[in-house]
Amino acid sequence: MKKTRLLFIVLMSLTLIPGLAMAGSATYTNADPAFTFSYPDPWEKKPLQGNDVLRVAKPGPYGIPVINVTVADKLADAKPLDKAGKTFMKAVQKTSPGSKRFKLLSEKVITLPCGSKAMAITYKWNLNEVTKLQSASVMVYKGKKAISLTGTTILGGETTPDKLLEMCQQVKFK
Amino acid sequence: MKNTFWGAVGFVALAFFFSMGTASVQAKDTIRVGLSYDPSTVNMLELKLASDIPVLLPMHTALMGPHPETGEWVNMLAESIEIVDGKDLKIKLIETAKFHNGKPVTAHDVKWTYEQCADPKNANILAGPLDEIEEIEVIDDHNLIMRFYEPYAPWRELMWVGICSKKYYEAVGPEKFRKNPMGSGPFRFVERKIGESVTLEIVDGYPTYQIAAYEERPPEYKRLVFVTVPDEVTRLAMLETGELDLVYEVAPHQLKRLKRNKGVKIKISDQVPSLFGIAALPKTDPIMADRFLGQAIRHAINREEIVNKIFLGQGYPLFQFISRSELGYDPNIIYDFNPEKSKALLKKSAYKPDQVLTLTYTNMVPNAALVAAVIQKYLKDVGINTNLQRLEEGVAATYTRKRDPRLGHLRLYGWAGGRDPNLRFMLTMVSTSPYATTTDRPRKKEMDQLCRGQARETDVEKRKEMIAKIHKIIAEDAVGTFLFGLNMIYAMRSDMDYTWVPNEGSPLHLQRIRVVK
Repeated sequence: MKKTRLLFIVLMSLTLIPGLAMAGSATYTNADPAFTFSYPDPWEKKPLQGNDVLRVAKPGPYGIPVINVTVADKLADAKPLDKAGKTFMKAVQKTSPGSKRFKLLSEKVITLPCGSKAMAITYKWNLNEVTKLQSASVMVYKGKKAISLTGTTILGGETTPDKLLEMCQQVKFK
Repeated sequence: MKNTFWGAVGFVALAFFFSMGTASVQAKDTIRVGLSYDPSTVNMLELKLASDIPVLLPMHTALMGPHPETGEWVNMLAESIEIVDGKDLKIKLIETAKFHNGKPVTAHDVKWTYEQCADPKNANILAGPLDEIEEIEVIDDHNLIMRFYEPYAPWRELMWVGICSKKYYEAVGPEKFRKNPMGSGPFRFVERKIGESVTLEIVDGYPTYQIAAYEERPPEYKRLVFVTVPDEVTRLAMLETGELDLVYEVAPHQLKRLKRNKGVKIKISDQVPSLFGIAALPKTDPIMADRFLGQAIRHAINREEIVNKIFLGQGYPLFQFISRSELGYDPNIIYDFNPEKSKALLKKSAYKPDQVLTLTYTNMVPNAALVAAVIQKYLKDVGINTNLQRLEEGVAATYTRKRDPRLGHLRLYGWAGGRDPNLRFMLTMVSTSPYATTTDRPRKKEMDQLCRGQARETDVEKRKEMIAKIHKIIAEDAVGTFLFGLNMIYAMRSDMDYTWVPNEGSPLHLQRIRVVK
């Protein structure tokens, strides 16, 4: 009986230790700018596109949800972070030919767990005539670089925009 | 003697009393419907799976719905719906409709319900389809306008959303609403036991308001219980013993057994969405775009025999990329089973006799292994060699999306279907879709234009003409073929009566179940 109780306490304490609570996650490390990004361990790496440094998706027939991390040079005329949301959404539209009906659902400046300021947006859009999507993006400026993390899944999917946003916030800048 | 007499009288009286008692116990006030799954939710605003619909809809009324006898799409909460500006809907609500708490159903509730169902936060499967609506404007309590981004031909497919009470939701909060939903339908929610059952109860005084399209009579029972019984054999055994009153999606081979039970009544509907076919995959091998090979396959298969021998006659051959219940179905289009014609067509094709085609099947098609084996035999008889490959449906879906040649040359598929072909056309016929089986058909441009055009054509007759042209191109290109549709077999206790609503895939209008007195 005592052993069972002890085991229970040990198990409970394990779930309360943040570092161990992340067990089951994989970590991507970027050298410059220096940051790490944790994503669920079973997720699979996918071929990179555009400015991607990482693209991972939940295993399954449809490859969703998918999270991509991009690192790009910050444009000279880049909007300040608190006004970067809509601009970012327009950039997504430009890089996805045929996409339309972009609608911003939320937009706010947040402080990431690592202390960095970020713009967080959620939005829905149509990739094409039949594929309707919901996305969440977190954007950060670091020096001359602009970093974005975008989670996307099918519109109405179980991973809601808020959950996608939560996943994108698992980025830590050094 | 006297004692004996009074004893006999007493016995008769007791017997009468008990027989009355038994009769009153047997009077059916509860109908138990067997489900093969546990509903994922009872909350319309968080609809997760299409299979939840038969459990949810009895609690709700929608703007439109199927006529219980004809299956035609009719106004329900809507008194009238008018297309304005070529794309928007001007909707007038009936003024007598009430929620279960007696409060009136208003345009505000309609707008709010649609917005909740479309909100990605609620992870509702309707969010995608409802994204055709740009905004909803409430004119007054009984009038509203739904504005669409573009003309949307299958707009009726968006009208069946069960309207929920905004005020009730705001009063009780999302948690209580999730567990105690409320609508304006024939049934009110009573309780849900996860993994076991969902209990609903006829609303007092129902019908509390009349829908103009049909006459609703007072129901003949009180409670409707959906009971989760995943195993088919157990479900049927429970029907036979009276623990269930209604089961559906009965497999044809179970009919013989059920027919022996005099307490069970069997009904069959041949007007339900159902489409099974073979997709040809030119991405695996360009030979599959050879129209002579495609036509040879069409004439090689004896669809009637498949239906009769494998499905015991509980189905019908299909010759179009369409379910019987859908807009554009043409019963006059037939490909005769003609092995000689098939052989002649095969000679005209680029197919070489030593070539072996892979025919893939998954559990999406009932009796898939048998159907695949029979098709293999038909094809062999005309000179087409095939290997059979069984895949898990998830793997096949992955291969389909990636156009992975491991999917094979031919694939058996099933489509649950519905009333409108739009989604299937847009998914599988438009050349830019990731699920298009062929991306370079000879009349690609015309096909793409027709598919996109029919999606935006709100004039039904004009749209039918476009759909007919799409089917004509499909027939000419002969990329893939169509096999059969299956009947809906449903069975019930003989002391009740229910008739399936035509063109529907699940049991609706259950308030109309008649109880045999």
